[in-house]
Amino acid sequence: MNTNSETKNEVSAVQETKAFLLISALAIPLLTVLGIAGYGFVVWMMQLLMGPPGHF
Amino acid sequence: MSIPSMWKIIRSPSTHLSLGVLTLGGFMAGVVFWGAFNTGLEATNTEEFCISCHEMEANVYQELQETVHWSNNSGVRATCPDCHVPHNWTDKIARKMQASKEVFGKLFGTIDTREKFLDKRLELAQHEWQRFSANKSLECRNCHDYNSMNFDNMSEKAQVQMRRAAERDQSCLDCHKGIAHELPDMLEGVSEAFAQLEQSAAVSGFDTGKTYYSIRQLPIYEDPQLAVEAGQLNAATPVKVLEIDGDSLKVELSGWRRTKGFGRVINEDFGFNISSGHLSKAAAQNDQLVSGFERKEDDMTGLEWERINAVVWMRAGSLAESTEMIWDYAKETYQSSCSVCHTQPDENHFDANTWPGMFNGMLSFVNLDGDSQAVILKYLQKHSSDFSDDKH
Ligand code: HEC
Ligand code: HEC
Ligand code: HEC
Ligand code: HEC
Repeated sequence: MNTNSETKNEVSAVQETKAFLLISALAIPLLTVLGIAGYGFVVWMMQLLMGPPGHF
Repeated sequence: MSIPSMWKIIRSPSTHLSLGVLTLGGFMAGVVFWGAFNTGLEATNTEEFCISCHEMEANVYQELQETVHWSNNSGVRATCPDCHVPHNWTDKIARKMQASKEVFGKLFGTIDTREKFLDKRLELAQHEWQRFSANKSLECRNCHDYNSMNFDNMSEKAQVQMRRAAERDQSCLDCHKGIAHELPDMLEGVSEAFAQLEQSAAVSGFDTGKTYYSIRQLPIYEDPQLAVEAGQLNAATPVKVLEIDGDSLKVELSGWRRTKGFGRVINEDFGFNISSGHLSKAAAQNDQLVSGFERKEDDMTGLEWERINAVVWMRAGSLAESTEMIWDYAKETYQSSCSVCHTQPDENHFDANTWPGMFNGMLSFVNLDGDSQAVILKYLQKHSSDFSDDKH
């Protein structure tokens, strides 16, 4: 895309759709997976420090 | 499109896409993501995934096939994740992260041979035991529930133990170690060791008038032809040889018995329940085989005891000159088989009359043949607080 058309009012429908797909299909899923993995990692580390999970 | 310009579009309100499209699109992306995520998670939660590593396929998977969780009357199959992966979501994710370490182990070949696996096995098993003990065997309880168990239908051994376990809501793995795989090498070779003991300790020539010790439980007879059974001699029990007749020995077994009942059980000494053996009903009442001497009353129970000498026949074999090697064997086997779940109690932690109850209560947990059981119990009694120098 060329930078000239890039004023607030000149965003094309194609650009906007691309941006939407980028976040909804790629960025957010990736971040979510990373977040869950990080969470699992933290819980694992906690378990190492405080012993395996007990009965609840 | 450069990143800054993309960022700008993302930050501004949309001009072409309606709120409805955005919401619907976001919603659908969420649904698709969640489905895919769980499918992925499930895929790593199947047995195929677990055994796709050769390490698991060749070792634990093969062993599982020998057990009740592979094939049973009900047709329910327990798979690896049923027992090994927590069902609660947080713990499951944590376990998956932990498994990344195992993938590392795979890449670097930490356990790529059976030998390396067996070396590592005790450590791996202890991790699992720790986990089960902390969550009270939660994974087992996804299928098994104390409240749904019909104790009356269980074997006698199971009834006693399982009722108690249910009362205390005890963790299954306290008692059911090795339920799905072979136990790590701790108890192996017990019966070979016994055969070895018998080979090295048994004497071949006998002298009349000398005392010998039985290595295992041995049958005793009324006649030199060894035709009429008179009962059984317990392990590690002294007998005095009176007469040698070919392959048969006439021996004297002395001890004490209670006068109440048929007096079949012979104990080593007055007031002690240390078994020397038992007589058949006929033999116990046969004055020609059994001669009685003085009688005493046991203050503890109020029962009367009688000192006796039983003269019986037995095969010339499986007798040792001393108890030394028998005790060595018993001590070693006691230490290796009774330290699996807890440190084994000192021999002199209990007195001679308390040990049988304690020991018999534990027998269902260990892999011991009858002779080893008899030898170990006798060993414990003879080294109990009644006989030990530093009393407990
Ligand atoms: C997927 C469900 C499932 C899980 C998980 C499970 N079991 Fe079982 N278990 C069974 C079934 C089914 C049987 C066989 C019942 C029958 O006799 O038909 C069985 C049988 C048993 C028996 C009886 C063995 C015998 O020789 O009769 C024991 C003991 C046992 N399980 C203990 C455990 C322990 C301990 C765990 C946890 C490590 C566990 N089970 C986990 C389903 C399960
Ligand atoms: C205090 C020890 C103890 C605990 C704890 C324990 N068990 Fe058992 N269980 C036994 C013994 C002993 C037997 C009998 C084994 C035998 O006959 O070889 C048995 C037998 C069984 C049987 C077979 C019963 C039959 O005869 O059909 C099942 C099934 C079983 N246990 C499941 C479990 C489960 C599931 C748990 C945990 C929720 C559990 N046990 C906890 C000691 C225990
Ligand atoms: C019925 C429950 C059950 C099932 C099914 C089961 N396991 Fe286990 N597993 C256990 C228990 C309990 C232990 C703890 C050690 C023990 O008591 O034998 C264990 C231990 C292990 C260990 C540690 C090493 C060892 O042998 O002690 C590995 C590895 C393992 N299991 C892998 C697997 C794999 C792979 C599968 C599927 C093929 C599987 N398990 C199926 C209950 C189970
Ligand atoms: C499979 C696990 C396991 C093995 C193997 C085992 N025990 Fe135990 N033992 C237990 C459990 C669980 C308890 C506590 C629950 C109970 O009292 O039944 C216990 C309790 C005891 C107690 C009672 C302690 C007290 O002060 O009351 C004695 C004694 C004992 N065991 C001796 C032995 C001996 C001897 C052996 C070897 C033959 C042995 N144990 C093997 C699991 C085991």
